[in-house]
Amino acid sequence: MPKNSTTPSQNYPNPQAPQTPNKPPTPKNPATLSYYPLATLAQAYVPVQTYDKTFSPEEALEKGTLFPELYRPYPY
Amino acid sequence: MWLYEKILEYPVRVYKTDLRMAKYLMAQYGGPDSELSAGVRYLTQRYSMPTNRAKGLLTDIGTEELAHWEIIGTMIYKLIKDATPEQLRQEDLGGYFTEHGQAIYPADASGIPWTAAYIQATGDPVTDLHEDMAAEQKARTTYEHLIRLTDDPGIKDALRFLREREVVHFQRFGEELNRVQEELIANKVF
Amino acid sequence: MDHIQMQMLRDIQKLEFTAIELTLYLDTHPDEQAPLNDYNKTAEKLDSLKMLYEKTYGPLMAYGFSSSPCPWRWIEGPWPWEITL
Repeated sequence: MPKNSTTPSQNYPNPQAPQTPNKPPTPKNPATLSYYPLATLAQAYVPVQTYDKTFSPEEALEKGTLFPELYRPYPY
Repeated sequence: MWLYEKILEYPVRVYKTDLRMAKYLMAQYGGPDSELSAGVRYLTQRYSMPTNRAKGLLTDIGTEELAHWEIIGTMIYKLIKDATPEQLRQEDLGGYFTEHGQAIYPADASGIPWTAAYIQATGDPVTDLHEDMAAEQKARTTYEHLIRLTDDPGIKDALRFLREREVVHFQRFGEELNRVQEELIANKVF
Repeated sequence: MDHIQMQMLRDIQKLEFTAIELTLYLDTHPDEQAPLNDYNKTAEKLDSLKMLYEKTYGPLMAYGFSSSPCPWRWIEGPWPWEITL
């Protein structure tokens, strides 16, 4: 379960409370390792993602994905 | 049935009038590779999908595209709401103002109205999923062009979020394409 | 719109986005227990957060999903595209 997720019991009037920084976890099964040994010619395949570490809800929203291995920031 | 929720999927922090950027953003509101095209495309194609997974995926991504369409509409609304007709005329939006006033009408960055000719539904799930993956790439490219066209941190921030969604959707369509192809080979479907 | 309402909306956005991502993941990986557990936990938190929000700030959805005092609170502004904070 993503850490630092918000619960309804959170103290709303104090949004300035210090937060623990989140380091993006390194996926132990990079998606690039999965491939199709029986792939057929003239067909497209995408490696299937494996469920691993996820960003916290806050970091996920900020980055646009819950999944570190799918995060492809644009440098501009 | 669809349920509207009174909240944006991602916050839009836009405070200034910027008619030129509003005009460019119309590409994602009513252009060929817009969020509107994406939403209507997926919600149209889902009926003829062969697997429950594909029906679910197209329903869910199609629904998320409508939320993205709302984010783009919100950005354009905030960028033009305080503009005068004279300012609109100066940015070559006089024709737009004549026909639509300050409304947010689905046309592209050059003023061409949205049309269903931008999308396809062939009834062939492999073909349709390839179109969907191409559509995600085209939308990603369009977002990259838009990000290059602005220095406004609020606009850039929302565009970066929307661009990343294209990457995730591409992955999901690809995973489903694998599966549909496998099932077709195993002759489970047709 | 006050500061607390903004903060709650932001917190709902965070949890809802996690739920969206897990939904799409589960659509193509329907037999996996770990993401399903995370989805169910997120759904539960999101549900109670939305109920807490609606109690003070009015319904996030109409169509019978929550009740309203008089006058009908669903139409209260600001609408999502009008929020300026």
